[in-house]
Amino acid sequence: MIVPRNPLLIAFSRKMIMFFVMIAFGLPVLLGIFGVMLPAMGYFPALGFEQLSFGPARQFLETPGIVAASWLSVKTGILATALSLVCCFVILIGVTNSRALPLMRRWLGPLVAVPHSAMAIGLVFLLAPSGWLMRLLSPAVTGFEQPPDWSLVPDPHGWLLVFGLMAKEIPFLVMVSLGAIATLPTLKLQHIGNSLGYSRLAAWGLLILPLVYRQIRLPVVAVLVFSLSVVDMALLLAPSLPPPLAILVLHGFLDADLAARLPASVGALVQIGIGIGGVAIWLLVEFLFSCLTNTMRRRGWRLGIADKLLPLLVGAAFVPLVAASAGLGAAFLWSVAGSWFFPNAFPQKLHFLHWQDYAGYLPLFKNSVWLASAATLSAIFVVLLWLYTAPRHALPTKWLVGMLYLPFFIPQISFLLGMQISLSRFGLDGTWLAVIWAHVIFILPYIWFILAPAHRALDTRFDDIAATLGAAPWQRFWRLHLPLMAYPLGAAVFIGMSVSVALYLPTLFVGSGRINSITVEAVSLAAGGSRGPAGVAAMLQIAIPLLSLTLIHLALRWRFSRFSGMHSGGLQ
Amino acid sequence: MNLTRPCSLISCCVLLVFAWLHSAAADTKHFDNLMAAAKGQTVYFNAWGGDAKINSYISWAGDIIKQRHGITLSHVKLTDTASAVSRILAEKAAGRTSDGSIDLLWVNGENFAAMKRADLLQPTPWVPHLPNWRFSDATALPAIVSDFAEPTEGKESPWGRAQLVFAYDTARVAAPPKSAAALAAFIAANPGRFTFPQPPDFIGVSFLKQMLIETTKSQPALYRHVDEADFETVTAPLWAWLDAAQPHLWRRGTAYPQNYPVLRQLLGDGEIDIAMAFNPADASASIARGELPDSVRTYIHDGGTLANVHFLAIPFNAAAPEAAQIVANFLLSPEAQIKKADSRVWGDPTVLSMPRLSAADREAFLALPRGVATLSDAALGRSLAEPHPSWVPRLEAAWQQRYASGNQPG
Repeated sequence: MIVPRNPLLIAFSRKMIMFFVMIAFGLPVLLGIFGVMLPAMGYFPALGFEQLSFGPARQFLETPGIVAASWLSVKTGILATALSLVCCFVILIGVTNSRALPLMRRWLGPLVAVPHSAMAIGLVFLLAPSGWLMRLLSPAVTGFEQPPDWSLVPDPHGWLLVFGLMAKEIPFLVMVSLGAIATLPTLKLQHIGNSLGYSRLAAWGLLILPLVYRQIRLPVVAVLVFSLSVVDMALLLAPSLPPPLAILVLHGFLDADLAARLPASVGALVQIGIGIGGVAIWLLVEFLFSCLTNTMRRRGWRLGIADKLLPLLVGAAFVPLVAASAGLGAAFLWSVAGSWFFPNAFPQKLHFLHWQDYAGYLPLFKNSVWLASAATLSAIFVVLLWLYTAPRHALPTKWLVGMLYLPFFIPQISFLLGMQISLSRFGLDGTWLAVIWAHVIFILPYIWFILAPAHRALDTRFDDIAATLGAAPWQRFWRLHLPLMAYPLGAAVFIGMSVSVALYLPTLFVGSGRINSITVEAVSLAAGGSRGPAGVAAMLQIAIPLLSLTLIHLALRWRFSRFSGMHSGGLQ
Repeated sequence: MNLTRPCSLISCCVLLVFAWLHSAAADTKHFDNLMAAAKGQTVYFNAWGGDAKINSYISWAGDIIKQRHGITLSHVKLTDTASAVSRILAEKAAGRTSDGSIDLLWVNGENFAAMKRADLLQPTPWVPHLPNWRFSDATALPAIVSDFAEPTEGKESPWGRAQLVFAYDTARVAAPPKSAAALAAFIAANPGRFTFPQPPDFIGVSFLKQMLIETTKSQPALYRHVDEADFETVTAPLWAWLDAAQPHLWRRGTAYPQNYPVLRQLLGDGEIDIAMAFNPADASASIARGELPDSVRTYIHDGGTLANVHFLAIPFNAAAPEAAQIVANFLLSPEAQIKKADSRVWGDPTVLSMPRLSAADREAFLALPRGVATLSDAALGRSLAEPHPSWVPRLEAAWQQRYASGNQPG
């Protein structure tokens, strides 16, 4: 109860905490970029490169297929984001205020939790010319006795990567949008639109979705930057001649010839450039789109016939999600398949040999669980600490938020290597502390995104009442705020666990091979063509977030089912 | 190792003083010291982890090493050995001269040469001091001390032998093509039914080298440093061969499998007709695991195929170099080598010399089942020596230049 009341001291300690957060979680990203800048300019004294030069830049430009690779990154990243957003909006139009909504939420939650790599593994198993889909249709429908030589999985233009990214990002965007929609009087707006003769599609597209988009712009841009530089999904789904730029950069960093890191560092910077360029293109498209919708509004287009197309559009928007789910089914089948040759629709023999190998997966599974739990709880702790100490609306907070969101907007590959070099210098790479810390950096923005609005939405009158009843600040926090934020906290834990389990590149780089996760294993197994083990690893990957989802759900239901009005900001 | 004879003991004492590392008794003592130092250490064994059967062999070895020596063997599964070399390089660049992240590395060829060039290996030779080294015979099998013509200098311990072997499905292909020329004709006649792992994958580059040797009729220049040869002229027949084949490859050469297990899977799926591996027993083991149909058989080219030895190396900054030597010694033991040669386990041929083994161990080797698709030793007899390792990066780069820029036909 004896809390220092010296205002100067309080202000000082608050500043300290803010600086601590900034230095601990924002700065490494900037330092990581700095860490690739010097090698990019030809300065890498440890390797005998001691003079600044344009050599690495020239070498980078001479990499075979570099233009095609960069274009592939830009094309797939922007297309994937745009199509994901369109599908997300179509789904919102089709499902909001309908009876299908609760059902869809139940399906979306798990899909959000599926790591990118697991989804990619499933899609490969489903869509390859000898994949499950073709096996189901052959030879009865297609007449193929042996798989056709079609350019699928990977296809030379990166469509499969776009499709895979869509399967992963649509559920995420829909979930974020549903959160935004909860704050909007959508039914009322739609009725107003309808009463003025606008179709459902036009009412949504011209009235409601612009409001939704304003709220989800940040996650959309994060999705864009991620898609422009994705690595784990690209390793499995993207073409390899040439691969997207991020993969070329990764290969450069992993090359036995350390001098290859210099041009790769240039590539890492170019990747940032592609990120910025991609966002610029996105903003331009945004502007053109708002011009278009403005014109449509002014002209009063009702788009009457569009509603006839709506069921078709909604159906199409669900295709990536259905494919992703079926792909996971195929991954499960492979995990229990003894032998399964084309064109059999199902495995000829079932066995559990791959699952009996559990001793090999157990340490990795445990690692992932530990990493995800430790990183999530640390991130929640940091965010809460900060929410309760930082002065509201203070200028540094904006900076701080900006710093926290950095990992959203800077391609992972561009700063992780610089980080790894620095960690390695101090012998910290491959330690639990470093890996958890790297995970926290990536989880923090999500947790902030969930908890900050929830904290802001807390009704301060409860505080006043509690204070008049003699509750100390920590009592109010413990007995009032935490229960009131229970649902957002549950959502934060779930998202934190999902994000952590899915992290591939940070675990690979900072873990230095010593600390491995089930996700790193799954990618290497799938890339190594071991379908059965990759199927098992994919299932284990999914198990962690799904288990946490179930536990959170049960815990919240057990504790708070008697209360009403507790659900806002949560998973529902 | 005969310590009972007094003269040998005396000589050992002398050597202990003057050159203790080279003496047999010192080796034993040295090794006992190692054992003591190694107890409780963890060996981070960085080894390519793309094959389930190799992974389970390594975990079998790990269990035994844990039991007998109290050493924890942690298999760090690599997708590309070069990435481990670059990690060691990065550690060296960062000034981390001890307590490095890699203790033992599965390596050979160009990666070993690169490590040697950059001084990334343990500075003192350690392999000849391993107690199990006496079961090998470098005069009978010079490849165990000469890795792709690069002298090992006792800085990497041989682990297994490999030979490039092709696999095909007898249900679809009656007579497999057993030369570069026959393969070219097969590819032209069966479009979309052949491919190889995408260089710089190890097997993919090995396939390029195989074709290079065949199409150039084993030019002597291949066995010298690449800088001494006119690369373009020497390799011209290889590119002519590839240019002719490319439009008829799987996916018209617009995509390649990333490694040989994926290639094997394509054979199992029926997407292609011929696969290849650097392990004569790979096809048999895959049939046993249900990954390939039991109609698959193997063959090698009439002129022979590439053969080499793969090794275990300890980086200069290993955190547990003592324990790493114990592990390398165990993996070189007849017990571990017999298990490894079993086609139901891995099927990797041994580096040990039969005449030097005990009668019981020799019999155990001979009693191993060969596997339904594995060729006999006689059929595998014709092997080709690896070109000088300096050819590898040049071939990789030239292939990338020609076929990886994304604007090839198709």
